[in-house]
Parts: sequence; C-alpha cells; structure tokens
Amino acid sequence: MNRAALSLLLFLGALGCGGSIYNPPLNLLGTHDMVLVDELPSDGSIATVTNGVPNQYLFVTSADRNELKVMKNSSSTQDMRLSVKAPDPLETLSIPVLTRPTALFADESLSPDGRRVTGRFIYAIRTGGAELSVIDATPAGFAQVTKDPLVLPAPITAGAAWMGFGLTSVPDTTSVYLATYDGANGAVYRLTLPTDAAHRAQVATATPQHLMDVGSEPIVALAIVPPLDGRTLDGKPFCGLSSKCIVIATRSASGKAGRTLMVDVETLKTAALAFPGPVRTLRVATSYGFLGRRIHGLLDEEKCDSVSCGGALVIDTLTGTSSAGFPVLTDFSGKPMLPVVRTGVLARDLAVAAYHDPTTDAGLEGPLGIRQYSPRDDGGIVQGYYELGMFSASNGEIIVYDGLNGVPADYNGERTGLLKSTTTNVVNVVRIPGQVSDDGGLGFFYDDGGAAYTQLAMALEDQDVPADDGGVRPYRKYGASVTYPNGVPATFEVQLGDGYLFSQNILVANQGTIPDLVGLPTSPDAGQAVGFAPGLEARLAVGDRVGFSAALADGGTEDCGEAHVRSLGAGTAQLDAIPNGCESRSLFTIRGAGSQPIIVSGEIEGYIGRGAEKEKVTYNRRYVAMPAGYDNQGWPALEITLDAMPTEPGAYWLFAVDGALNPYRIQFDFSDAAVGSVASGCATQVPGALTLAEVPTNSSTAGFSYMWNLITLFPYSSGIAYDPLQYTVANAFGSRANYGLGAMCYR
Amino acid sequence: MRSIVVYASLVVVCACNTTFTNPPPADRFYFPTGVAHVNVAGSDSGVLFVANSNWDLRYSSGSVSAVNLDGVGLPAFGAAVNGSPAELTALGPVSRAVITSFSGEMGVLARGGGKFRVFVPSRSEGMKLQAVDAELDADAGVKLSCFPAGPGNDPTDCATTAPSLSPVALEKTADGVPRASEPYGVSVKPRACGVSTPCEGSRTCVSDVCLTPEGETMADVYVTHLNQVDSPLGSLLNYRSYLARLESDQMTVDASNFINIGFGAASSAATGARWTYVTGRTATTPASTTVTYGNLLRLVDRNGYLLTTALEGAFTVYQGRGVAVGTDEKRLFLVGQNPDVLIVVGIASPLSDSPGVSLIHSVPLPYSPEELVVIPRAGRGDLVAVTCAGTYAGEVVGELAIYDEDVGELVAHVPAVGIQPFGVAVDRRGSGARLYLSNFGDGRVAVVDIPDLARPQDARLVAHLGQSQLCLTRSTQTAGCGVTQ
Repeated sequence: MNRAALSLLLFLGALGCGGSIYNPPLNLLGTHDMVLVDELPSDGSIATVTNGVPNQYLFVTSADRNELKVMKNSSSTQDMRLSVKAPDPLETLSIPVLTRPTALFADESLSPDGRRVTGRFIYAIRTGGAELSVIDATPAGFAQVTKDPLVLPAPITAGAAWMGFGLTSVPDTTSVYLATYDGANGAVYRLTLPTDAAHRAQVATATPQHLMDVGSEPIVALAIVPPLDGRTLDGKPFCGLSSKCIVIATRSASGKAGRTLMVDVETLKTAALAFPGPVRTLRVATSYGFLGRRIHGLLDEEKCDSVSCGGALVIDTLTGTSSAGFPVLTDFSGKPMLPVVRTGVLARDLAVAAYHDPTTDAGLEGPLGIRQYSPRDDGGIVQGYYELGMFSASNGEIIVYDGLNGVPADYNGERTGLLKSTTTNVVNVVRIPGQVSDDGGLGFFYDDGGAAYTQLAMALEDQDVPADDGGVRPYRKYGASVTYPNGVPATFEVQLGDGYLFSQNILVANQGTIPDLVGLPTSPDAGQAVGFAPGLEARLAVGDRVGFSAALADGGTEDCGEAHVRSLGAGTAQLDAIPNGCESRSLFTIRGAGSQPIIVSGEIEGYIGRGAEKEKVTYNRRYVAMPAGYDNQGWPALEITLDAMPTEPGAYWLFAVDGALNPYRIQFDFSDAAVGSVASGCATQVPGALTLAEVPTNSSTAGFSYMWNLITLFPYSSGIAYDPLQYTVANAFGSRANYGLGAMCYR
Repeated sequence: MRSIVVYASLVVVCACNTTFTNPPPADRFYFPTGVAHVNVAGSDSGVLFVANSNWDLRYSSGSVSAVNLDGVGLPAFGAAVNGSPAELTALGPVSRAVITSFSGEMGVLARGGGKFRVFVPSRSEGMKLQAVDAELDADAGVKLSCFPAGPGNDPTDCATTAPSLSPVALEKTADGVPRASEPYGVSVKPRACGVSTPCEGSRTCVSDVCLTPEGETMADVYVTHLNQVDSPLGSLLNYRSYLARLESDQMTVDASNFINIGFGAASSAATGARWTYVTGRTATTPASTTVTYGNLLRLVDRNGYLLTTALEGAFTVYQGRGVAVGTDEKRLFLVGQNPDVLIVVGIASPLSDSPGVSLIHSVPLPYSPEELVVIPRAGRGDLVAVTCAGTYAGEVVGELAIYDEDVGELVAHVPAVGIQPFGVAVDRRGSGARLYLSNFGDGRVAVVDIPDLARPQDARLVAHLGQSQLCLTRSTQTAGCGVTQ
C-alpha cells in the first residue's frame, strides 16, 4: 500500500471516529520558495477542471530542515487547506531533498488557451549548490526520484523546466534548463529526463547537455519563453511556434551591470531585452492571445546602489531588432512604461498572472479579478485584469500593477477632483494683497498675497462630474467663482484628468513667481543678465520681472530692485538694466509679466503653465496610476480656463486637488483573529516568494470551485498566506494597504 | 529558575573578589565568543585569539586565549578532507589572560613591531572593556599582558584594572548618565590623520596614521552595549543608548567617552574611513509591552555626530546583528535577525557629512545568523562569510553561509560546523582564505578553508580546535564523555 493510500485510510478513519479534521502543523523552517502543481488524471492527460485538479498541491521548501512540505489546496472544509500527511497521520509528510533547498520549479507547459499546466516532476535546487533534486510530484510518489540529488558540473544559479507547448497529455520526457556558474563562467545546461514510470531509473544517469556559455557573468534568473506566433527579430521570425526559447538575466560588476537575453536554445541565437539595467528576477506572462509576449523583470537596485534604480518593468517581445533588442512595453500613454516602484524599499519577489480564455476550461474562475473600491466605502467591485503583476517589498507590502498597460493599479478607483474644503480657509480662496509692496507682497521672492490681504472664499460648482460614467469621461470639471471687491465677477474653469496628480495645492498667481527661478544665485560678474539651468527659458517671456536681492553685512539679504527680461537664450536672460542699489546683488527671482502674467504652479508639480485672462492653461504629464477600466488617453492632467484676475501683483487663486491616487498595496494583518487566521506568526514579517493562481478552494459533489489567490511565503516566520483576491478589503493602514478577509496563514 | 539563582549568586561572589582564583583552563576554550586572527613573521598559521565567555559561570572569570596555530597540527591549507574534519583537541602551549565573564565580540589592533592589542568587552562585573597586549614571537610563543597593567599579584588579570563602561562616578550623578549597560560589540580603527586633522597630544602623524609617543599605531575603539540605560539610574525613564569611544593608548573613561545615539540599544559596530556604522536592537521599555523597533542602522563619527538612517522603515527586521564594511566602503553588509537576512546597504560619499545610505539587496540567511566577515577579492566582488547559530529544537545545524557579491546570492553553505558558531576571523592565504569560527555552544573553534576565493563553493570544514565542552555543560551521559549511553 502506498503512502497516499494509507494516509487516506487513516484520514478517513479519523473522520469516522472523531468527526473532526486534525490538521497537524507543517513545522516549516525556511519557506524560501514554492511551486503549484496539478493533480494529474490517471489517464495520462494534463489536468483540467473536469479531469484532474489544476493547482491542487503546493510544494514549499523547508530549507533549514532540508525537506519539502506539501499542502493540498482543495478540501471538504471551506477555506481549510490541509497539509499532506505522512504515513503516520499525526505528522505532515516530509520529502527529504538536497541540503537547504532554496528554489523550486516544476515541469510546466501551457494549454492552448494559455493556462499553466504541470507534469509529473518538480525540482529543488540550492543557489550556489551543484545539486538537483528531482521530485515525483504525483501523490503516488511524493518523494525524490533518485536516492541522492543529481550532480551538475558547476553550482546552479537558476533553473526552469518545460514539457512542450499545447499539450493534451503529459509527455514521457521533459527538459530541465539549468544555469550554472563555476566562479569563472556562466553556462546553461539542459537535462532531458524520462518521466514515465518505465524509464524512471534513467533519471539517475541523465547527462546534462551543455548548451551555451555566457562569459564571466553568472546567470541570476532563467525562465521559459513560450512560443509566440509572429514574434520577429529584424523582421524575421524569432522564438516562434516551432522554437524552444528561454530568457536569462546575467549579473556583473557586483550587480551594477548585467544583460537580459532571450535565447533560442536550438540555434543559440540571442536577442537583448531592453531593460535599462541589470535584472534579478524574470517572469513571463501568458495572457490569452499573448502567450509569452510580455516579460516582466525586477530591476536590480545595485545598479546605482540605490532603491531608486529598482522596480518592476515589462518588455514587449513581439517585435525587436538586433541593435536595440526588444523594447520596453508601451503603456497607456503611448510611451515606454516607467518602472513600477515602491519608494524607498526593496522589491523581493515578483509574480505575474494572466487572464486565460475561460471558455475552454469553464470550471475555472476565469478573468483575474482583484477587489477595488469606487468609491472607497461601497464594498468594492471585482475588477478583472488581463495581466496582473505583484511584487513583495521589504517593508511588508505587496505592490500591484497592471501588466498589460504598464501602470500601477489604483486601489480605490476614486475619481480625482477638487477638494471642497469647508473647514479651513487656507484653500479654495482668492487672496488679494492689501498692503502692497513693490513686488505685490511682503517680498519679491514670495507669492504671499501681501501682509494685509483680502481673502475671498470661492464658490465651487460641479460642472461636469458624472457619478459613474463607466469610464467614458475620465475627467472632472469644476467652476470656481468669486466677485472681487470692486464688483468684477470671475469664474475659472478647472478640468482634472484621472490618475495624474497627487493631492496638492494649485496656485494661480497674477505676476506670480516662476518655479525653479526663485532665489537663484547671481553676481555682478553676470553683467546685465542672469543665468539658470538651460531649458527654463521656455517658462519665460520678454517683459518678465527680475528682482534682485543684495547681500547685507550681517549675512542676510534684502530686495534691492528689479529689472525686466529683454531677450532670452539657452540658460540666460538678458535684462533691460541693472537697478541702482543692486551692485552687490547675490540672488534673483523672476516673476511673470508682459502678455502672459498669470503663473500656474503646483506644490508637487512645480511649474504648470502661464497665460492671460480668458486663456486656457493646459498641463500634460505622465499618469501616476489609473483606475482600472478608465481610458484617459487624450485628456490633459489639468486644464484651467483663466478669467479676470485681481490687478494687484501677487494676488492669487488657490485650489486644492484631491488626487485620490492610491497605488494598490496589500499588507497582511493576521493580528485580528476575526479575519480567520488559523495560525499566528505570518504578521509583521517580510513577504518573500509570491504566486498568483487560481486554486481549488473546496470540493463538493458538484466538483471543485476555484478562486484567484495570492499565495505569499513569509520566509522568516515560516508561514504561507493565502489571500483570495476578490475578498481583499481595506483596513487601518490608511486605506492603501489591505489585509485579506478570509486570508489564511499556515505554518 | 534554579540556574538563574545560582548564576546570580556567583555574580555576587565574583564581584566581591579582585582576583580570579579559578579562571577557565588554558587547555580549552569555554563558551567562546569573540575571535581574531593575526599573522606573525616566521609563523605559517599565525596566532588565534579567542575570548572565553564562561557563560555558565563554571569558572571565576572569562579569559582570552592566544593559540600559536603552528603548534596545533592544522591540516595543510587547502588540503582535501578525507572523511571527518580533524579534531585537534590539544592546543599546545596556550597563553591566557583573565577577563570578566560574558565576553562579547573581539577587536584587535596591530600596534606595529609584532605587537597587538586585543579588546574585549564583557557584560558582567562592572561592564568592562578589557585590553590584552600580545607580543608575538614565532620562537618564544605569545606573551600576554594587560593594558592598563594588571594587579601585581597577577599581571595577566586584565579584568581588575580594566575600565568600566558604567563607572560608579557617572552612575551617581543626578541624571545617572552617560553609562553603558552590557557592553558587547567592538570596532577598532586606527586613527587617520593629515595636515588638517592632526593627531592630538603627543601623538605624531606618520603616513597618515596617528602614532603614540612610543611609535605604535593608535586607534579609536568603539564599543556598543546591548541594553539601553535609564536616567536617572533606576528610574526606568528616559531610555537612551550610548556608543563608547575610547582611545587605544589611553583606556580611560569619563563622560567624554560616550556618544548619545538615542533611543534603541546597539548591537555591533564597524568603522569606515569616517563613520562608525552601528546596528540596532529592538528596544522595549518595561512600561510598555509594545515592541518598539530600534534604529536598525545608525552612523556615528568620532566627534559624536549622529545620523539615523530609518532603514527599519524600509526593511522590517527585528534587530540588527553583525555589520561589516565592504571594499572601498561603497557597501555595508548587515546581518538581521528575525527575519534572518543579510542586508546589503549602498553607501554614497562615505567621507561626507551626510553619506547616502540606501537599501540595495537582501538575501535570506539560515536560521539565527550572528556575525560576519568580509573577504575582499582582487578584481572581484567581496565574499561575505556569516555564522549562523542554527540551533533549533535541539538540532545541531550551525553553519557558515557565504555570500558572493558577484552572484548576489549565497553560494556556499558549510554545514555542521558545530553548535552555535558565533565569531568569525579570517586568515588570507594567497588566493584563498582560512576562517576560524568560535562555536559558542560546543566550546571548539571550527576551521574552514576556502582554497580559492574565486570558487567559494569549495569551502569546507577542515578541523575543530579544542575539546568539546559538552561533557562539562551537558549531562555526563553525553556521547563522547566516556559514560555508557
């Protein structure tokens, strides 16, 4: 009797006697990696929901115990996954493998509809060890195929396995690709292993085939690239339907450099992926209709010795050239995607999941959905994505981005707008200087509105603010009105595009200071001119006011007079004169004047634009995050139609933008038992490996049900967290990070 | 509870004596912690210094052992290991100096002319920083003495005359500070000098290094302490931590020797060209059960300037442990516990007033990592060797993990080096290195060879130095203790 059958009998016996399920702790120690595998049908087919169980088993490293543990995802008890038992059902099954397994991968393939399927084997390696454990991942096996790990010619640095494309049955052989580094050279080997029972003995004697050398650089990441019809390099087919391809990332100069290459392992022809720096993690997306087209990578922060060089970036591998490689994905705005970053922290692992065609496997959940909120407190909607990326971060968060469109996902989907504050008179006001000095305020260098000002509250009206327009108008428009003390009415129109602006104040000032041209150093040596960074002259116009301040004996400065711009050049403005009293000038500031005296600036944006009464100031910039489903192409970030301004220099309008930008971040919190934690310890720890997958959640006579889950390993608390994405809800982390309602932690 | 009472009684007894009548035997190590290796002219293997912490207070004190490695029968460097590593229980003639119990890390200063000064802080009997002088002669062996000189009845008693880092004179002031509680980590850095940074007092600047009037290299000695101190003493209020800085040729302590580094106790320190990098421990106060994260990494310069890095906000780690400066001080390697991780920190402009400090890489480590050492390689990235105590549920899984900057990963694991490896010292051997690991739990020193630093995967355990202490610290029925199982 095999172990699984014995376990089943004992398990059923336990149910019969006690009526309850004993789920012994996994006793994990060192959860560095995991891999999901299907429960294969007995007829040799690949698993489908009607024949076998996709993603039934989760294999996890217990590195400090030199073993693997196994979770069975489906259960007769809702959301209660069970560890696979040892022959003694009081213990969990231990699969001894090589010393300190730190990475796992499985025999993989894609069904024709793009769904990941797995085969009979999984593999365990230890980065830096020249050993490979081959594990039979079928319940009848659940053990190392060979008594001892296979030995490779050099230490392994990365690996992946591939059975072939579009399979309907599990093949009798599989290919394992292994990157090695012997201290001098990086190389790729391939092992061809028999997986059928009749030829298992040959696994122990399999000889690695040397495929290629990559020079002195170690390969730090390796992934299989599924064939993509129509992919070209220099206009010729490359890694198409009949090819076998991998992608590798190398590292040199201690992480400051490296290459990412797609390699046809039959022809050894290579093509570069245009990541802007070295990459340390690679994931290939398998979205339906785009199998293997987009390759996601985590940029190595060591490139510049700063986290600012990191982030997740996507390469589009449909069309490339030998000279430039395959380009960075074009995002929403039609420009190359910017790296998705979490400021100040270190990315750890990357997971990518993709929509597949549910019609071919209708039992699965289908579109990849995560819960988002629009508005924040309405209970949320499950928003579907074609491709979703997530990376874990060293501060405990998991950052979510839209892999198809190359943008961070927005958590709550709230619309940007003007803040209608009624509790403060700081914003949504017009301020008119009263005690006007020469510069219009207390000093030339400030938009201060003067010391004895008149402040008017503006009336804000929604002009075009659809409550729910289904995404057809990704902007909001407001009217801001006020009547000046002299009886002159004015109405400004403000249009805000979704997804562009963080919350900030927007200042519209008559003869306002021009951002980045305030308080710059100068000296008499500059003559009748002032200098600044080239490019800033685009913000200036002839006639603008240039105010100087002179150094005082006590080290301070005071305004000494002003001049006007006579002409402009790159990084310089010629002036009409140098005012008397400014012989010892040391600083200067420029204010708008002339035909476009109204200056618009933002607290965060800086310079936005300038104009005159009745003109529009239009501001375009890259988005920050996009609410899912909103296509904002063609809409500016901000557009203000100016109206009459107070005549006093320094008078200003002040709007407050509520950006409603909440980049989607998940943070587990198992401290509240009410959310369903079955074991403590996953909390307040750094997440490591991630997987996004549809896993069976429970079984019934009608079969299994499946649900998209984020599975997260906490390598330091040795826990496994399951988070059903469609139940993820807001919590106390400022509504920007969530814990999983119903999320479970297993240890 | 019984053992705690016994230990406390012993502490009282020991504190009342000025001499130590029953120090650890010279022929073995006993709960070794800090370890340092030095090369000496005419010696093939050099000399190993080991701090014996006397952790269970079996003896009246701790000690520093100096072992002439040429006399212990070490395997030839790089030789293949056939079967088990060599168990070299006979240490040969061992020089010994007395220090107080509960020693921590060890720092060593090469004073010149074959003379060394070994610094060891201890966490008992006055919170002392002991300095042991060693004169090495390949023929005559190792001569140990104390600085300041030991008492007349025992010149190798370095504990009695060593300065306290919690001096009574400071404890009795109105605010009870500065003082250090449980000194633990130590970093020794020869003081650089130049035209604009002359040496103080009667020291001279020669080849950009300060020399004492005797012509010996002078250094700044930085000492961390594991506990915060309250102010006033006993108030449980106003907790803060200090970094003590002593001058290697003075070894005197007053208030000017303490640098206030704020809330959160420290663990280890490593000194670069200007700044000392101090790892932090989790800080809690008795009045609160809420865990408060200490400063994971702080920067302190010799003049007392303090920079906090807020790295704990970027990487959620319970406490920092060992820390080491990488080649050219462009990177810093920091061991974190819970999570057990090696954190790589980028350092920009390390000589400036405000160096840039950025988290740039992390690698999971085996269970319970402790200390580390950086091994530079010409034309390559550094290797970083980390001791991992690795005891879990009684299993002996202590190991040495080796990180390769070229690969960005752990590339070698030397398993089963012993129980609770702690300190690690390196002896460069041409293109290779020999490492010495103090096994706190079994009382031996593990010897690991890396024959070729370009191939760290070939690292292997070649020997253990010293007798296992398990027959003393565990049941006499422990295997190998001569009692039938």
